[in-house]
Amino acid sequence: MMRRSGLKSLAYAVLGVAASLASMPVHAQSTKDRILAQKSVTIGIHNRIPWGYRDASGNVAGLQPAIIRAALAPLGVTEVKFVIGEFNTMIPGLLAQRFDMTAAGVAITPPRCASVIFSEPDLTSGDGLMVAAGNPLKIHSFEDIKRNPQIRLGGGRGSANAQHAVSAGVPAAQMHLFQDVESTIAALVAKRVDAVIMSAATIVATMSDPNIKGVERAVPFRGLSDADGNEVALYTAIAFRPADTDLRDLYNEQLKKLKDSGELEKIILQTGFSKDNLPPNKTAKELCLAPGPSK
Amino acid sequence: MSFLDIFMGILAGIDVTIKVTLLGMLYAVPFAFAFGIAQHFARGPMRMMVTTIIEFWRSSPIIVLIYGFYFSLPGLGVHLSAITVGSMVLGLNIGGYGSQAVRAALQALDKGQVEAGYALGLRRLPILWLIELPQALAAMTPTFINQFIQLVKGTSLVSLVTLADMTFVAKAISQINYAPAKIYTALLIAYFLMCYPATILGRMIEQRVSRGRGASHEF
Repeated sequence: MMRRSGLKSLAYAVLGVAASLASMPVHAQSTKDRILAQKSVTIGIHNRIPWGYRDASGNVAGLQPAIIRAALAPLGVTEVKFVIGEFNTMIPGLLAQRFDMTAAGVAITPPRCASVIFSEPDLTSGDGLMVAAGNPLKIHSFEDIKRNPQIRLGGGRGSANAQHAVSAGVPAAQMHLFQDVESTIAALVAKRVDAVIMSAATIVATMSDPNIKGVERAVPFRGLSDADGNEVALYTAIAFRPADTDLRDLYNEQLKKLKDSGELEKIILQTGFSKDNLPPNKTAKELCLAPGPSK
Repeated sequence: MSFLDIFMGILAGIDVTIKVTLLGMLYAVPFAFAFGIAQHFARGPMRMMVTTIIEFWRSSPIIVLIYGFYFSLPGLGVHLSAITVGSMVLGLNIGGYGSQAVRAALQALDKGQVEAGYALGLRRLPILWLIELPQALAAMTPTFINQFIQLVKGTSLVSLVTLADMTFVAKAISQINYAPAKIYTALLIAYFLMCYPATILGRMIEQRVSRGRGASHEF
């Protein structure tokens, strides 16, 4: 039995190595202090025109990256590093400290307010619907979709636009959720779905791609209405980790300056959005408390 | 974008794919040998612990482990970089499969081999090292080549945690230009060009390792 002891200690050594695999550096500085000291901020994007994307020269472009640049440059923060991930990893990635702010057009919704804190809203984004060219099924509202159980509606997994369809009462059996915008569009082109719900701004950017054929934006489209009968829109903002209230407050101060000087409007119009997309007269606090939209 | 532009664009991610594969091997090979041998020899509670660790890595879906290690561990204060998470999870998962090839190859050897070693006055470790492992190696090589190819293809999952490998670059291209058929065909060719030479090389290694050993083993 003595002969076995060598192997036994080998096995224990193996277990020891396995147990010590994890290592951990510690960050003590606040995120705000680090960003100001290093003059560099890391943002999360989901690589989607016009929201936030990597342009041909490898730099980050799009609406919220441009707003963040304009807001932080006066503070000396000139380097904007970016991390690309799926849209539905933006909040997990932020909380896991993979980046400091999101710049992916994340809309303020009460459930999201439970896990992150938001800046004041910087954009209004309505829903739009894409359908096969000629709109053969004559889809112009969520009611049209509910009325015909054969219609399959595509949308982005984790997107608030798809959530609007659910809130409007589109049954889960008719909903097909995809990982990202291009697979959702590919599903529409391949006739795996009959319609796709996404932000109107995304649709405008998508339709400008010459490779997209055989689909169109459904006009008119009546989206989800709130209790007062107004069409529900999304209000996007920058998300921060709950502990980074000082960073959020600093950013809000800078954002207010951009709003007051008209710089924000200029950025919105320059990055492919229209006057319909200007920020709402609502605060992040109000949007976090907003009751669920009516069915 | 022409097909060639897309293909060259995808090749820009080949360094990350290769890096994750090689780092993954650094986890997979030692894990496979250490835990395969440990499982072969350990008894009682020790064996249960070894088996538990192997099964954790082998029986968990890679995508769940990658998400878990990348997004959840920082909440517990453990920060691992994306490349560490990717190569470790893929490597240990493949290593879990590999450990079973090692154990099976050792168990398949005739008991007489070990007894002959004892008769020559060797201790247990030298018997393992000089008599059992060289013979077992021939039996495990085909499985190892298979697993290497699995690992190369598995690296596509690291695109989910921000690493710019070939799959990630392909997705980035498809996010800006709508051309899924072209882009995914180019990606398919890129992986084939990496995996097929590995298959050929694997066959050569196989022949070399099993040279002069009568029967060939396949699992």
